[in-house]
Amino acid sequence: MRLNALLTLFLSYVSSVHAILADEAYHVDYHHALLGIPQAETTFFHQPSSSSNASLLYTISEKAIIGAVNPKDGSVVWRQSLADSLPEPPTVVEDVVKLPNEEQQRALRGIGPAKAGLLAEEGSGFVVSYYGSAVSAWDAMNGKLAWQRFMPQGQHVKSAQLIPSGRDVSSSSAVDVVVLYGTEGGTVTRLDGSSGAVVWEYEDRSGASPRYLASTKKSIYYVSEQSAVLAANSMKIVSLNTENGREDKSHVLKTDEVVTVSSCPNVAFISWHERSSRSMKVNVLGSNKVNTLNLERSNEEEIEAVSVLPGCGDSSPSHILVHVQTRNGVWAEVFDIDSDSAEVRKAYSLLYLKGKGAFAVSIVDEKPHFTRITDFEIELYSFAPGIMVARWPRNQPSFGGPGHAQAEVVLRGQSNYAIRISEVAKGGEWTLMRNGELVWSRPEMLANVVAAAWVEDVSGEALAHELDFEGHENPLRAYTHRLKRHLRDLEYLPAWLQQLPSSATSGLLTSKAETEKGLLGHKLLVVATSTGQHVALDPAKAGAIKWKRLAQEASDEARAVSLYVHDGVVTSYVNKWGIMTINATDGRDISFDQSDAHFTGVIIAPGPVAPVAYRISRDGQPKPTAIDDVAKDGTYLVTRSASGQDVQGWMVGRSNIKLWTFSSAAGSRITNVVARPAHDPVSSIGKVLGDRSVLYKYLSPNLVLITSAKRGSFTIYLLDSITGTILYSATHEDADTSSPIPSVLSENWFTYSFFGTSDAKSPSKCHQLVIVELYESPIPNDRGPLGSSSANYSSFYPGSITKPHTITQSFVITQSISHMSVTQTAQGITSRQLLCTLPDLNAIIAIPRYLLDPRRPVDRDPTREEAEEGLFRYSPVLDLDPKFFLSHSREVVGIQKIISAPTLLESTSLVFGFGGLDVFGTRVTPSKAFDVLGKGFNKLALIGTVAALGLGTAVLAPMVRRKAVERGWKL
Amino acid sequence: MLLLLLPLLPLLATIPHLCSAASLIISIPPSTQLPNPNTLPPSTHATLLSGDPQVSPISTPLTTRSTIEFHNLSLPASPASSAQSYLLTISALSHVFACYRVDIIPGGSVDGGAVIEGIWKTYPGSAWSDRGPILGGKAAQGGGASGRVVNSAGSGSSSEGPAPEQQPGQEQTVRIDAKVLSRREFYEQRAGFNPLGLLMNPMVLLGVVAMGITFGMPYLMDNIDPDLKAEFQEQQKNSPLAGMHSALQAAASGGGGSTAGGVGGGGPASNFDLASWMAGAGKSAQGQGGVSSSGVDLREGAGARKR
Repeated sequence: MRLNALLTLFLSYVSSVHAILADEAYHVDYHHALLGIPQAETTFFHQPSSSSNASLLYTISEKAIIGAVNPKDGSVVWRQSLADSLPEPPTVVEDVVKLPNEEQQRALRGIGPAKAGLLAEEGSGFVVSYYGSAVSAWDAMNGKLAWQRFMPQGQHVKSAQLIPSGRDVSSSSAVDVVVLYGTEGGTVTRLDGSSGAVVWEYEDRSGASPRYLASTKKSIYYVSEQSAVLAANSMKIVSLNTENGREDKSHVLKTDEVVTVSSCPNVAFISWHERSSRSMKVNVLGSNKVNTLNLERSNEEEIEAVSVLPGCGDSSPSHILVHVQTRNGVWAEVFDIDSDSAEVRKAYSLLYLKGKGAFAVSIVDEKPHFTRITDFEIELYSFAPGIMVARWPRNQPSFGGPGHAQAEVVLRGQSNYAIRISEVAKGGEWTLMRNGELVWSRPEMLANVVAAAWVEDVSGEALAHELDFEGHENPLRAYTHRLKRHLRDLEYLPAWLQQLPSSATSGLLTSKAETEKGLLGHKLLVVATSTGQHVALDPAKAGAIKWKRLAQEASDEARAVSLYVHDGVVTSYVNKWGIMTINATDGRDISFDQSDAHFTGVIIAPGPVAPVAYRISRDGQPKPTAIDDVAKDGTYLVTRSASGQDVQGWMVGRSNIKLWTFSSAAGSRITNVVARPAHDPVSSIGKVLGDRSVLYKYLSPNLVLITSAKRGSFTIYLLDSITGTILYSATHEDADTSSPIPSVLSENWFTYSFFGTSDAKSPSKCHQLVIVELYESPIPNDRGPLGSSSANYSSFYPGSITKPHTITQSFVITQSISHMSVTQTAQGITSRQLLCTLPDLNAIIAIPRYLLDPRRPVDRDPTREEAEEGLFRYSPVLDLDPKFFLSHSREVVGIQKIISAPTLLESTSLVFGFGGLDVFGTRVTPSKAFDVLGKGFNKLALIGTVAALGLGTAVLAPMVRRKAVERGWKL
Repeated sequence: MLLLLLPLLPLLATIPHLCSAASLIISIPPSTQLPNPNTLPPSTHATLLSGDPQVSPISTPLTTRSTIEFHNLSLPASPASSAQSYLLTISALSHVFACYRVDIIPGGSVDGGAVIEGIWKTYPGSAWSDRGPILGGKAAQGGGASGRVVNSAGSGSSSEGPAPEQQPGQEQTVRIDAKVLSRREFYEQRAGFNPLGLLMNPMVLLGVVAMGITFGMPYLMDNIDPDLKAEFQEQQKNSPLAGMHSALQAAASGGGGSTAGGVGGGGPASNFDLASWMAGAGKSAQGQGGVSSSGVDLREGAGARKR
């Protein structure tokens, strides 16, 4: 203990500001820059500039992220969050508890969920997106905003189209944007493509709900659904003049459940069908004629899904590909549209194939070509004869089956086709294949990660078990066992001997990643996504995916709650689905339990044999997974009810007893409950001051930090989790409680951050970081009530609870913090760093703990003794040095949670951030790498020095000998 | 008359929601820290934070013109707040920008229009009322502040005005220049192996000098003129340093070091008094020394110094 204390003291001096080294950046850290799973309608190849032929892949994902991806290597060129700039109504704490009233509910229903769309026109230089109430034009090359327009009163955009502007291209944009918005009675607005200014507006005052917008070169079609009272499922189609927005003509159609509207340059059409119907109806917009298309096949399978892909060439006629999905197979029907007679005729069908498949339409030389993508091959059909012109085998099937795909086909010569296919698999993986060969794949499902856990490599544990066996047997049996083990090991000897020279030389020249891995421990990261998938990442190999598992038949509402790893088995708790166990090394299923699968959280408690999982119900009640599988008696749990109204203390075991309830004050809500990390070793029980006296730390494993917020103020409570006694509380008035108030508790200190005013007399709007340290007594060398009474101390006796002596300082920081965590090392000797997410800068930062020492002298310079402790003068503004940025120049977007794990090296801690969009991992050495030779260690220089010394000795030795002999003769 | 008004109808319908609103345009000019503002990443954005949980933060990204534009700034619907004070922060990963204070007050119109009262530079940690010179806004109109204020009152008579500024009511546009404070430097260069740096180490330098003396001096001595050599040796004998040197040598060879004089046999050490030399007595002390041993002298000197 004393040695530890000494070491800690030493390390606290060592830790000065130290940055990411330029040669370690991008090597020790890994980052998946993600967009979220791309949506079918909003993903396409597009040439950003007319000067070059190179195209980029544009998408809007289900996370409302618009982005461009380079099809060559799959790297993100740019991305923007569409939801960020929306003027969302603030989430007031009280309103979360209380259900919205009748009027608000109706308004919410009317607006509906925000719909995203993406439009692009070749040569325009920008892409136009709409989401919620905003229409934005982005520079196609660099992703900067060209213009943005918000619809009045926050009304959602329903649909938008690009139309040729008809103006002089040199001075303004070649295309204009037509937007449809509104809830009861839509408004169609034409916006200038270069500035977003309104050219004209058409307002529908009939009260019908606006649905779709379609456009051709000649006119714009506005489709609205008539109110259900008058006529159910009837669509009114109004054609508008593109020049002035006047109504030309209109007609009403009776439609079915599933309606699709598609636009081509020369024709726009509406198609509808009933669910699982064997026919489909199509109307060319602008005419009254309704065509009925048969989707019959001899096989009598029930149709599960029908989707319509328009194939628009600039020349007439246009085509429709209808993709029909049945339970076991898939086929497609291709139809011709004659825009003059408004007739739709069947051209041919593409063969029925078993299994799942996707179709894509691409235009080559003004003629549509259809691509069918299955798990095994890619088939390209040319339109004119309707025959397969090329096929490529696939070298690997898509993860979870093909979802949707986009194809880019190039024809060289007469019949030499080349194809690039961007495919989004059902499992969320986005891949690009060139002629069937996989070029890259992006694990977009990682954008939905909700839980993560570290897995220790268990391969070394087999040896440990055998050694354990040898230790507990009688000597003879142990000896034979050992002899057998060594004989078995002999078979690896030749291979080992073979690679010995190469490993010796390679080890000499470079510090190999393999040795590094051996020192850090063979750790894997298992993550669970909200859709029930499980993926293992290898931190040693730049976060590469080791295995991935798709959840079978998980419902949409299924949400992974918690992951727990024990003995190489991952147990995943998925709410509304069940509990599944997976082998951590290869991802194979072990078991699946679907009973009683409704819980909001899971707590792992120590049991008599193995750890026991307790499921937490909505009201905060813990329930053991199996009746007889209970925790050890005297195990205490703290739970929070889902409503955020109270926190409860429980004693579990053979019977569950609720010990205390902490209810939030009227009008406030518990937003955050944190405890000390499960692995939080403390190397020293006291803090050695400059005069060699000791300030004893208040170290209790049973601390809970609760944040309770109401409008405009919040209170921090520190509770003893066994008795429920409040040990400390602090209230901050005039704080912004609509933004997160992150907090973290470790060792004998806790911190939290918020945006608010710093003091009542001269308010200042700033982000603040507050640190509180807990000590047993304000007097050095005094243990307070703990020291005087006796060694017998029990937290069960309420009178024995001593309140800690707290020292607090608060700092002004220039950035908001959305999440906090703390580094963890094996022994806790290394000083800690506070890990924070800076959402505005898309960065993760590690603030050294010594900067946040609340004992820093205020308004005076430190005395000699204080300086010896490492304290320096307090300054109210805590500068977030760029050197603290763990994510350095990477943009790590949307990290909501950071976890940390110790390694075999005391100096090093592994860090992994996930949650909102990206995943990011790195390793940190808060007190520098004091127990391992880094890259700075030059083996060649060391060998060179030794060699030079040897040479020097060899040269000097005869000289010295001669001199000694001469001296001997002189005497 | 009615017919004349007809083309204005769609425009009139928009009046209720296009009430007077304010626009704030922040441009990022080239500076020494940021020579080319076009290199800023597309994630650069500005945020208006009020700190009031009922007023949501407003955020907008960087445009292709290297500006950040807030359009239709309006006051929240809540009746309690008549004016709102915002903290304007500009976030870019590569650069640090100054913070500003933006005050928005109700505009002239009845239906909740808004006007930017003023924009000031603010400093983290300083009081909210401590603000720098006004950069723009309504309050800056009277004094000739650096900010440019554009107030364009649309007449509403022309229905074909495509410019967004020409909307009915009063549109206020305030332009300010954002100040880049510094560039973020994330990396530290590793101190590589530097042979010259190793040689500049004082220990190594000492060693080199010692080596030079050990090897170079005998060689030099052998090569110099015999007359000069003799003179040098003579000088060396007389010099106090040489005296000290030989005294020490003598003391060392004297074993227990009782009386150096006895063993030295009248060497140059016998007439050197280290203590008095150190005390600055110089030649006169040497003369006094006579036959006394250097050991005694040392003690005496120490005593003298005490006195």
